[in-house]
Amino acid sequence: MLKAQSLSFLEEIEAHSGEMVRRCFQCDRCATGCPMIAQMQHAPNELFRLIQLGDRETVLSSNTFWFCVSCYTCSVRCPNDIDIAHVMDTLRELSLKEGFSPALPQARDFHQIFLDCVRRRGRVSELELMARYTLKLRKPFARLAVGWELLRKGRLELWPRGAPSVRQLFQQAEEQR
Amino acid sequence: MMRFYPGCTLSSSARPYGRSIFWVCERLGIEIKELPDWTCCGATSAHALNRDLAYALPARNLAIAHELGDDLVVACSACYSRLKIAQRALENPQTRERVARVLGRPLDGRVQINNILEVLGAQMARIQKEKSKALEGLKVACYYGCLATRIPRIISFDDRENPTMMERLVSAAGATPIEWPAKTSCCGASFSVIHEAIALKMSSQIVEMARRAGADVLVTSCPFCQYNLDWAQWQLKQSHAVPVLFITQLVGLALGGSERELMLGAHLADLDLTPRPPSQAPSPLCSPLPQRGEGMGVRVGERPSPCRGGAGEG
Amino acid sequence: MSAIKHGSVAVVGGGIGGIQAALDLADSGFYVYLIEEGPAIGGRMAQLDKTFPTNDCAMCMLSPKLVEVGRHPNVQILTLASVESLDGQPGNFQITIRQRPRYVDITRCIACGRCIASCVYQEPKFPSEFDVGLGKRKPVYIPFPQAVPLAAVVDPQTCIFFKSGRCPQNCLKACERQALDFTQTERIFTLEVGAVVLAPGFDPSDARVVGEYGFGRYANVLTGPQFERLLSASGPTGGKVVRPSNGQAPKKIAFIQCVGSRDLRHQSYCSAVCCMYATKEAIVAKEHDHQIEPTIFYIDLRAYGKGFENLVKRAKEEHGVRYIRSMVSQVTEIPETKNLLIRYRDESGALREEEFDLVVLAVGMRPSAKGQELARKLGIELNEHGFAKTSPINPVLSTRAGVFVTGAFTGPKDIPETVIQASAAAAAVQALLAQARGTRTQAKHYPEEAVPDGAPRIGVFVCHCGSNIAGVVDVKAVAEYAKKLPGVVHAENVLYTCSQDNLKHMKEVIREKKLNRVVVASCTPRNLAALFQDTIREAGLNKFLFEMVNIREQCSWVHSDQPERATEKAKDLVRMGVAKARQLKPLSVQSVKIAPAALVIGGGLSGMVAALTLAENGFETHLVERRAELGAELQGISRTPEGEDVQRLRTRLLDAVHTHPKIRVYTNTTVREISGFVGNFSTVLDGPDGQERIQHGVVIVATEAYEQKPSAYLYGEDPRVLTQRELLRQPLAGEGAQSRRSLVMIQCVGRDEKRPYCSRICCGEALKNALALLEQDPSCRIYVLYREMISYGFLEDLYRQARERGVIFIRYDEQRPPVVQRVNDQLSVTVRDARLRQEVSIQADLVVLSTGVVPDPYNEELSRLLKVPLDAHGFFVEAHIKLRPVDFASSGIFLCGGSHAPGTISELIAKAQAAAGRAAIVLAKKELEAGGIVATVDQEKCTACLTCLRECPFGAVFINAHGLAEIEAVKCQGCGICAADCPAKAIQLGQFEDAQELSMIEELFRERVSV
Repeated sequence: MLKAQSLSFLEEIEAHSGEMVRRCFQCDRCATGCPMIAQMQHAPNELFRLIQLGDRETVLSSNTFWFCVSCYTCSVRCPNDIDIAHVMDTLRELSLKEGFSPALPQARDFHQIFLDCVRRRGRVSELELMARYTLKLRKPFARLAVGWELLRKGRLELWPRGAPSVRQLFQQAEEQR
Repeated sequence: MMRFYPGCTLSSSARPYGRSIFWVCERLGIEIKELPDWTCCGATSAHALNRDLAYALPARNLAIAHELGDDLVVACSACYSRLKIAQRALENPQTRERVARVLGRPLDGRVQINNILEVLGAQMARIQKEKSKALEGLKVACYYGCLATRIPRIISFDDRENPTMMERLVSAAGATPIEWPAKTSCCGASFSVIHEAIALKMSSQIVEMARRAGADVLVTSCPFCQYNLDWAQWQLKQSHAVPVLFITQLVGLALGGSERELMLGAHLADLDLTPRPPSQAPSPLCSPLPQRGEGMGVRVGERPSPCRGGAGEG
Repeated sequence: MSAIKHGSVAVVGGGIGGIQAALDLADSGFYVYLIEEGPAIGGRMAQLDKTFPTNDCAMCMLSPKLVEVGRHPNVQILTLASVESLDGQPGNFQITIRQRPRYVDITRCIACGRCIASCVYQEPKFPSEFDVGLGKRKPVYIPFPQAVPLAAVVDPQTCIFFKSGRCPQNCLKACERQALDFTQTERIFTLEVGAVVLAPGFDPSDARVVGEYGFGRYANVLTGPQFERLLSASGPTGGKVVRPSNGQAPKKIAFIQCVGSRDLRHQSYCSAVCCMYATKEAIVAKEHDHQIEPTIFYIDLRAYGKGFENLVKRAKEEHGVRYIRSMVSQVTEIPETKNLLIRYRDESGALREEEFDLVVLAVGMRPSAKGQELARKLGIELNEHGFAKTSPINPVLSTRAGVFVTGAFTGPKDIPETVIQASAAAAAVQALLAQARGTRTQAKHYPEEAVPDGAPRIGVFVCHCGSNIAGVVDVKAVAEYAKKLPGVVHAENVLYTCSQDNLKHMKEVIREKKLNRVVVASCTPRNLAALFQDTIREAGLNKFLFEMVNIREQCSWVHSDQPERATEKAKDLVRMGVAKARQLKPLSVQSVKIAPAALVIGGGLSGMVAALTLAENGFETHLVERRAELGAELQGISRTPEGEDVQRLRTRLLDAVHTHPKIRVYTNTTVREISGFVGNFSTVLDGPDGQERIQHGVVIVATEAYEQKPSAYLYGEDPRVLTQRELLRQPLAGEGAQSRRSLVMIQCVGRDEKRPYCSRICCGEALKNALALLEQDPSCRIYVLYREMISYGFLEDLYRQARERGVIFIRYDEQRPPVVQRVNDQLSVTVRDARLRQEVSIQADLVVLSTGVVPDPYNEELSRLLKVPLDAHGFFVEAHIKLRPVDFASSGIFLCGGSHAPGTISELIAKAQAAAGRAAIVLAKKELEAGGIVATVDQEKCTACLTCLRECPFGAVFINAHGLAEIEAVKCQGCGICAADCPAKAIQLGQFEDAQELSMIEELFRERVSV
């Protein structure tokens, strides 16, 4: 039995994302248009209803925003003009911040490694990204086949050119959290 | 002269795109120079994990362009979408202030951001005039992917749900664009790395739709889309693959570019550009939907009844 | 306000709203210019196949009104006309009209279609506006078969002659009436009118902008209006439902609701009619083709009007229409078959994908673009959605004095609401121009009627109708044949019987040959019978000594491939007509004086508004209220949903009613008995000072509906459980104020088999109250538990505002209502959230119940006294739910108020004004015609079995002093039901007597023509 709580969780999500999650009237367009809905424990609108009722625990531990592929289909179809994909970003960020373990840890790993590559080099070297990612997954030989194909066909940059540093930028962002 | 923002993939997995863009622009007299000191826009990863990075990383590049006083042209759909979104977010004074603090400098994001398709589109007449017969008879399905025209609250350069810029370019280039329903469906993007099975399904469904609609070739303007559709067919060892080209490769071919110049040999799946005879039978109609819990063991819903009608009932 | 008052009115817009307003005004003594943009009147209703909730044929309902307007002596129809400017003041306006040329002379055109057939375009090529782009037409065309005026029109945009100057103009040559005239030019002229009524209607939403549904891209995706044309027998497929891609019949049809409506990307309001029209289309499609399986995808199902829920129930239970509450994100076309793939979620939340053969997009209403231009030209304000701005307590008044607005121009609404507003606008105009009534109307003067004597002397006129009849039927032979028939003293064939010269000729022949019966053999009586009757009356003959024989629609047009047999049939038909003519009798029409006063029963909001409207029209009104004071039911309501101050309104109404010299108020008074008939009612009132008898011409029933007292959810057991009305009467703060940190509102309380209907106003009230509470105390938390959110039309804005203010709306299934419990003196409400499929519990300080409305129990008594019907739920039954919503079937009795059907204050005001306007039409006449085609009971044969009395739909039969049935001529509508069913054959219907009808049949078989 879900007990309806105060609106403070709703207000928090709305403040962080800038989106009016309260406007949702459960039309279901986001759910039926989402290419990943079959993987999600909760449809986006169901998640919004849980947010409205203040169920922080269920929401932040849901796998929904981990499976979101940010295609923005829901956002452009929502009749209440809610950028739903952006709210998914907010939930993901909050979920990690509060220590919930991600439903798709490889997604978190990938994105973290990606950002770290950017932090170190200013641009992403795909070779570095894939190498570090497969190592993290402890599957160093996964993707060797496709990696080799790409390399063979000239689609893998072995020695990426230098780019300006963005370490300062990352540091500032970290401090601002 | 416009400043070209390449994004991280154009020198790597999307090198054929980068190459063909520069080739076509030179050929058509469009002057583009790489934006100096550009850095990664953050792509999906930034907005997935960190709101500030999501705005600051693209904003940094906008600031450079603004200072130079030049317009930007962007090819990668993700980069284009992130730059546009950041620009829009910067219109809010609080956000702009916050991002300025992260960047450590005052910030002006007012810059004209053009998509490569708009820029090519402006040369439609010239393409029409100078094209060769190289593409005659080729049926082309134009694939935009989800990001290029569907950015929330931003007026798209083309119809959001039914863009036609590429179709017109393809037509001008002498090929035949076909009508097909999956032109803005999502290919799965980074899930081809994070969760292969899902991306394989999404991408292969798109390729299948193109094939059923009678396409000889798929053409796209997004590096990730090209990679995913190409890789999916390669991974599944698809016979009679539908080659996935970048739009500039196709236009380049029509304008006399060589296979080498346009890096046409760089596809994963087999490349065969001859038009298919119409008698080739289409594959089964619709694959059953993945239900909840598939692969995640969470909850299994009921299987829907298989689709009816059409050729080749599965 | 000008001292000059012209007795004429401009009605702009020829749809059902404009037509209703025009008829009401013309019937009540004003001359009406009906100004229509297109080539014919009829509007959007003419494009419908059927109308909800009765699923009556739209054209069958509309066509009689079109004909009535077309031949009304006090209505001038101006087609292809638009308003350029309006100067002056109320009472004295100058309206400038621009009329585009039709290139056809409508006084000569008989709509035979030869110009169309001979056009250089062999095949129709241009998208037909009437068929919403589905069908095609040529540059010269007839808008639709029942168009009024029924004449061709040339479209200069597509006509080759106009575009290039070079065309053989076959049409000109083909027309036998010389009706085509390419020299016509645009006219600009100014008319003097006293008032203007704007009824330009609406535009359907543009489905192309909702690109995800593939309209315009996918062949088998249509809009609702287009689907309506497919269903119509007059449509591009003759009523066959087919898929545009291959012409095959579809099996699975998907309806997608809210396309372009309830959508911040497009129109944010609800278009109010789409849920019902999709339901109707689904049922009708199934009736056309039993194998069709319709599915409707929706968000909320808005079946809020009278009879709406019933239709939905029938759709689900009898017709197997599937309703799925999951909105579709996009439609995908399957390349090979052009079928459409739709994804949705079922009740368990599982994603499903289904293939459909056809998709219908239920597009909503947008403000009419032409209407907006009109508003601009006339200086009328529009609201934030682009519709005409009106005040909720004065719903048909625009922001410019003397200019009234009505129908969908003021906001999305269905046909009954449109008709109500049209009559309300007419009532307001009548009040404004009361002193000018009758000053501009045409009255015809006839010579004295000759009394026919001796044997019948019949004249027969057989029409060629150009080559329409003569091309198939040998009209000369028919005329020759007619000469030999007994009783015929004159027979001739005429090129066009309806032409002015022939009508003149007919009158001469009547006089010369002393004809006392006339038979015209030509086209359908629907068209021109009245014209001929008028003509013979001008020649001094009683107009009922006329018989029309249809040898066009019923002969030459349907037997065009068998001319010889057609000719024989024409002879048979003429012989039958002549036989009847021999039996025709003159029928008399009496004038009955009218008592120029009205009785309004019910002194609530509706009664007061009705009384005031009548009084402003100059009529004595008796306003009777059984309680101690007027407007009692308005007490305690502070605002309307739109924000108007209700108490101020009540005070104003009370003042006005009590001080108006023409209104007599009776409180603590009931009606003891009513007798009489329209124009002459006699009523006994029972008041505190004893009884009083009053005479009046009309009755308006204006009783209201009341909030039902609930008996569930701890109501009555816990003071913290209230109804919405009781919530309003609570003190706001301080002593006695209840804590209201957390409020739960429960909608649809008390709905069961006994009270299954939607009460229409409760969701709007709940929204209004929730917002008012938050205004006072932004920190209170409000939950609304609902089944369907009935926030139709602009109420959708309130719904969105409520959500934006943090009100949480939780939907529950009908089968699993919420539970209210008391746990440790804390009220706790548990409800199953239908979307989460989970139980949710809410701690509540207050529980507020929306219990719906029930009609005044006094209605039973009134129903008995007035002999007017009640439905199963105790609401009064109107004459026709669509086109006569404020009339009873019995003449002279009208209704409004909540006891007709629940409504918001704004809707009730319009209804009351409309009822008063309709009543005023009767009173304005001073005299009523009684007689003509009416039934009479032979007192010798009547056995008083009461069959006729029970069957008469108009309450025209009464038992007289002799204990026998007698028919009140004034009330009789000439339908013939009593005559047909009287077991003693004691009743005859004038003009259709047994002897007359039987003579036709006997004649046919007496002389069997050999073929």
